[in-house]
Amino acid sequence: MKKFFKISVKWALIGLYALVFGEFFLRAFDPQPMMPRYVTGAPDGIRANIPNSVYRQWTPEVDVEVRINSEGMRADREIPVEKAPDTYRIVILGDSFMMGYEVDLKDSFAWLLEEGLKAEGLKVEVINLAVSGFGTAEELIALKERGLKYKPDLVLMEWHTTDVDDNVRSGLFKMVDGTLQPASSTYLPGVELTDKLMKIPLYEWAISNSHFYSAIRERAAAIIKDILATARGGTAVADDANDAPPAGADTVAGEITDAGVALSHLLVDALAKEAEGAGAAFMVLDVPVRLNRLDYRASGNDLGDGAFARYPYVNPVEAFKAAAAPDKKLYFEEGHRHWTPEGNRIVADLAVRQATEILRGRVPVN
Amino acid sequence: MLFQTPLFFAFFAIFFGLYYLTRKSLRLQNILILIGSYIFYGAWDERFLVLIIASTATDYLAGLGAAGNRITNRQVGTALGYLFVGSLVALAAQWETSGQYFWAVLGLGGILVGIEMLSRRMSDAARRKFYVTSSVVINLSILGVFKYLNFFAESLVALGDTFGIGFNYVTLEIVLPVGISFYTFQTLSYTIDAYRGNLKPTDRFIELAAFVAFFPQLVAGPVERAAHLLPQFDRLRHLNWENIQTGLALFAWGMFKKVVIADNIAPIADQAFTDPSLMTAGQLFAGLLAFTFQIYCDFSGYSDMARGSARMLGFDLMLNFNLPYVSRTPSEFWRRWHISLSSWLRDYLYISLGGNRGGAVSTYRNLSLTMILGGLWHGASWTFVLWGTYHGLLLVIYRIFNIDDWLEGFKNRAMMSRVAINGLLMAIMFGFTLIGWLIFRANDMASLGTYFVGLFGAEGWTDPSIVRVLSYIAPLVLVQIIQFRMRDLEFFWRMPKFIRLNLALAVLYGLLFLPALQTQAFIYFDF
Repeated sequence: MKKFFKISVKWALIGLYALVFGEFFLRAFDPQPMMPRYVTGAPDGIRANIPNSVYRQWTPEVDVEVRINSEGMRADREIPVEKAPDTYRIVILGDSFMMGYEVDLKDSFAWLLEEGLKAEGLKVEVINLAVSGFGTAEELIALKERGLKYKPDLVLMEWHTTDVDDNVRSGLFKMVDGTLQPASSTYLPGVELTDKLMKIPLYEWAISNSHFYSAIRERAAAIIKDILATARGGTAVADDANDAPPAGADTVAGEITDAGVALSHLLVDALAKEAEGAGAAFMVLDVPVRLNRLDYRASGNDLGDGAFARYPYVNPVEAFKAAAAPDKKLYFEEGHRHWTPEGNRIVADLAVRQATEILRGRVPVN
Repeated sequence: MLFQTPLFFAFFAIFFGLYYLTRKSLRLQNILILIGSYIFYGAWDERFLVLIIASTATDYLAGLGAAGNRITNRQVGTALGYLFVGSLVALAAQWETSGQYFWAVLGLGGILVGIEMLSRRMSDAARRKFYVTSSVVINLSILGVFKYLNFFAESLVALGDTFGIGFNYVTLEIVLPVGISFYTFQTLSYTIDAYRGNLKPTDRFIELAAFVAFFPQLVAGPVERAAHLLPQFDRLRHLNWENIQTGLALFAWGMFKKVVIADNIAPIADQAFTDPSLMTAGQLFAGLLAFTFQIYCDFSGYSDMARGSARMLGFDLMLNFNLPYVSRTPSEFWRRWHISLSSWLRDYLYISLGGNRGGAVSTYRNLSLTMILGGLWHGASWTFVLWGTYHGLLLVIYRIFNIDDWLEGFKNRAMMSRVAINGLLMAIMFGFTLIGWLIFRANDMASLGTYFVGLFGAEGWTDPSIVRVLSYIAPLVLVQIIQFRMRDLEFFWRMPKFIRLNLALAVLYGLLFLPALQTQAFIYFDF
């Protein structure tokens, strides 16, 4: 018994030492981007940002603070459900790009959109319902359960190359005889475990500070995605032709299947219908796929040519190509490859123009 | 099936489990090795197994005959049965597209029967010579068809074009089977050694087949000698913790060299060699330095993984690399680089050509010829021929100036001057080695010239790629300095436990977190 105890203590100490060694090893030779995601489960069955959380994202390129308000939105203020008279409201649905990951709030798309529209003389409030990792299926639920109560005048849906795979993987909806049917009431991947772990102070410290944890999480996520993709008979592919993104990053696209494309079309149409039913306009914003610093392609191409032709569609590809230069980054390259402040600004400028056109002719919904 | 992939780990884990279960039966274990090796090799393309089976059947009979034995009908039957049944199984899955190759197998069977019948009337000495010659002709013919036919055909076409003759019809689409040069040389050494009386050939077919196909070293060496490896199939291997531990450590270090160092610096070499005219001198230097260490880490990494996995199974494979970049002279370099091939060329080619027995001029000729053929062994390309010629020339020049002998006499000098002279000679030899790798890696003769001239430019010497290469090779250099100083390649086991723990963690984390994004095949798989 004594011997067993001694061996256990010895191996526990070795294990602990290995963890500490790993932390120093990575800090010295392969510093990891610290990109924690503070998400939890919400009563509507999908993920939500943890209300009132404050966390830091830092990579070799950035060091930013992410502050979530009591409603789970990235914002520096609380937004009452009651709408002020003569005010337009824009609900944003999207993933980490719309949340403004890797940039300060004031460099984020949502902030720049609101400021740009105000500069156009419009009284506007942007309600940012984006949650990192969301696909269109979750966005549809988020609009119904969280967004419509704000009486939006415009619903802006982000489209990203990860969405087709996310929509299939979530299992929230399925296509039956060409129509969209609910398939599951919840999609909370890993949330239960994360919620438990978040109660442990060391874990909370690790997700924001430990390079070792971050590296293990990235690789585990990549392996899980690979296994899921293999189980579905495909292979997970990176969306960056030259330079694969870090494993597990938001920019890892899954397989684009015909079934996934058809399901995604139905989900987008359902979102548009939901918005229009509430009297709001609907527009789509494309997050282009970066091929290299000079070349980009529209994520919307995944759904076929002219997939979004029937909706107002902001496609920043040409604007990105025009602004591109070998020494200019529109996407970060060492973290999780979100837009830089410059990238956010270009997209926001285009969206401001499109949204101004839509909103000017409308009377605010009340 | 690449050593560094999850597929191999899964394969090896299952194989090792079965190997452990069969530890009390030598016969079962050898059968398991044979089947496992065929699965390993067949993972590339099971049709290539026909070549290994053909080589095994040929050298089973040739080995016995070359040693002076009379071949029995049972032995002929065993060899032919194995050849025909094995080939049928290997071709079965793709019979519709590849069934016609069975005619070649039948043809080889006919040749083997013919050889046996002819040999019956010969004297002992003539029969031995006849068998060894037959083995050399058959093995080199297979190698020639699969590796060199296109090269010579294309050269003939180019020559024909020069004189306005169209030879286009002679080129064929032949795929190079992985590792063909390695197992061909290994089986050849078996028969030649049997002929020379250096080993007693085996009558046990399974053991010979397992020796020829032994998966740890099948596709990229070490090119084992039958006298060393074959007897290990005749005795029960002891699976012990020490072998597993040391084998695992050797495998891990080899894998580190491959996936962390070689694969991470490979893109720098690739970029520089793709179009040297677009590169600055600094980038070209970085590319050359990168390739110099890429090829070393790639190849010696494979050898370490091969030796490590074999050791876990209770086998001992010969050392293939012994710190080649600390060599002071070309002959020392070839005693340290790809030792199994260098010693093969020395024992079976250089000595057969006369070695140094015929005076200075014939020694120089033999050296040059051996190195040229050694260059050609690496691949069918004029750059490999030039690389072999270059190394032959270096050997001849150093021999003319008796530098190796001079170094022998230098041993008694004061330490400081010894260190200075050795350091100088190492630096000079490393420079020659760099030029050698430039010749070896160049895409063609024209880009070789462009690359060489480009190295003497003044631009780009602060290029970040140079720092990147240096930072990746730093751990290798550090380890090799310790290996050199301690005169022990596996110094790890002589270190205090705490140091060992740190080194093991560093290698483990390197493998986990620092591998290249793109898995690359081993360079020597092409040879």
